[in-house]
Amino acid sequence: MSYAPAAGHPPAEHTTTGLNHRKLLMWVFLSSDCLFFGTLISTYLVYRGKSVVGPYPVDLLNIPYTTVSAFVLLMSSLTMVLALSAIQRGDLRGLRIWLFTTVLLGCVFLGGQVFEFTHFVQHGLTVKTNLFGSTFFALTGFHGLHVTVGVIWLLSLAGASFRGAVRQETSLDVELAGLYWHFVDIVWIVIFTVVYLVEAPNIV
Amino acid sequence: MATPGAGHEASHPSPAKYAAIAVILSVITAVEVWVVYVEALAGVLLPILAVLSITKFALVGMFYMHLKFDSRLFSAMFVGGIVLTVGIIIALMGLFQVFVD
Amino acid sequence: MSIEFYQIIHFFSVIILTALVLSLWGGSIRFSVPMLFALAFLPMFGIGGLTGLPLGLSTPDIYLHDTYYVIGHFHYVVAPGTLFALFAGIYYWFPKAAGYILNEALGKLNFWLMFIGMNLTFFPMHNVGLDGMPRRVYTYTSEMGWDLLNMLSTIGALTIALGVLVFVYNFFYSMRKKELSGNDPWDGRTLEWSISSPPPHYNFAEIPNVSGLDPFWEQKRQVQSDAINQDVSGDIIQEERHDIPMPSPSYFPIIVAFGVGLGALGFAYNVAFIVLGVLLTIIGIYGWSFEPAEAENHHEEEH
Repeated sequence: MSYAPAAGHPPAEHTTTGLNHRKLLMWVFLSSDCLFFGTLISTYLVYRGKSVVGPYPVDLLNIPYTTVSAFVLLMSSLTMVLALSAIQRGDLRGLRIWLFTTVLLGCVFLGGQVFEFTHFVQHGLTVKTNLFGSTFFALTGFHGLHVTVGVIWLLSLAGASFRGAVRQETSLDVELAGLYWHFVDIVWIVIFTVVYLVEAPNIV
Repeated sequence: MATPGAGHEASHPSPAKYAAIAVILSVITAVEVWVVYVEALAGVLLPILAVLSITKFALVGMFYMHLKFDSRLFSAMFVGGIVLTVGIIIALMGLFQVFVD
Repeated sequence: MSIEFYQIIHFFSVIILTALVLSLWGGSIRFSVPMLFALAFLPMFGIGGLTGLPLGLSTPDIYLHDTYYVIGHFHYVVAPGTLFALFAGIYYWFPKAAGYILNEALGKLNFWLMFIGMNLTFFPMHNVGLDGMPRRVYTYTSEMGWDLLNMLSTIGALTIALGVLVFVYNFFYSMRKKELSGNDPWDGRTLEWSISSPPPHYNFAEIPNVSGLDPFWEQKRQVQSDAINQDVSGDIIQEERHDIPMPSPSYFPIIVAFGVGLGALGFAYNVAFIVLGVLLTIIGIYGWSFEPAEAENHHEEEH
């Protein structure tokens, strides 16, 4: 989150790849974050169907509800890239509008997650109840944490835009935040399929 | 040594194009949810879901994350990570006999 | 430490030690203080390695396990081993870091006290260990016959302490004496000796262009031979030079470091420290992320 010059379009300091090093770092980080979520997904899949006591996924998962939240996150990706598009054209007002919309949609998603989690807990599924509870809350919990960090990042970016620290020349800052946000959305695409949709036929 | 930032100004999809991608993503999501409830396809459900998810993944990656227009190195790095991840997931599932009936 | 550990480790440590000894080949050795420490490291580490052999074989290890022999062994590896290497590094690079040289005579005293002390402390431990003295006992009766050797160890330990005190004194003495070292007090081979002591915070004004393994050494010898041969045609092809970007100074890194350390400490003492440490870390990282990626005036050119 740097707001100094030497980002965005004009050539920054010399690099051996010719690519901006912050962008390269963000991609390397996302690559590593893939592996992190891979471990959580592996654990979920390895223990799937092995819970000894309930509640089981079929008892609790709500596909229509989760579809809506997945859709919300997907749309937040759209608003994020529209924010980037705005600042790349120098449209500061557009940046702010789309950034705040992305934050709003992200918060809606998080609110939905919180509601879902409390609903599960009320129906007897906690992180300690059974294998499903442990692996589910670990996976979706860490994803929610990633979304929260993203929301804080985007809010900070929006705040910085009011101080004049976000400009067309420094659009890389917004691009980097966007990369992180899209990644978080991508992970949810995978989680939605692997955790929810795959169980759906069993939920009558 | 190339100057960094070169090619960055090459092509940016327009907002309309981004919105179109969003529509496609929504449609694919709807299809995913619909497919799950079609009993006739129950046998091939996993491959279908996989294809649809990968398509969404690829669309977000290529267009929203701009990989289609950026240096190949970024794509290589990200795809490399994904390949490793998928490999590890499958390997672990094999190790814990998830595929054994 | 399992038997297998010792068996495996011997293979690699023999290779490393041989390589280190061979690294002296062809050199013109000056017995300066860092060299004394480095030379002492080699046999000490070797002794430590060799005394580890019976510990790697199950038959003698049955007898030697959990005796003072083990302590003597691994202290020879770690104490005269790594500590001598550490002090060699300290005496070698101190001039570069501080700009002043450490006093040579005091350094030699430091070395000899530590060398004699280390041997005096840890060698008798092999003997008492072979005699059966167990580890982790704080006292024993005189009938065991271990009195003299343990006393030697104690005297040795005090000698080491004396040596370290000499080092501490040397440090303060040299910092006060302020005998400038210059760029290259050791006529060094590597690039760090080509810049000032202490170096500027950006280290090198430009990323140095090197062609060969010992560019600085060759450059020095070339200047000498040029001067001898009256060679005036010293044109260097100006290749593309690149600035080195430097981050601006910031308090946040140290806050993050402190937070991490405090949090880690909390695992040993109190959960409150963990909470406080994590909080500090997060605040530090958040604040740090607002720092600009480059300092305003990163165009450090010395020419």
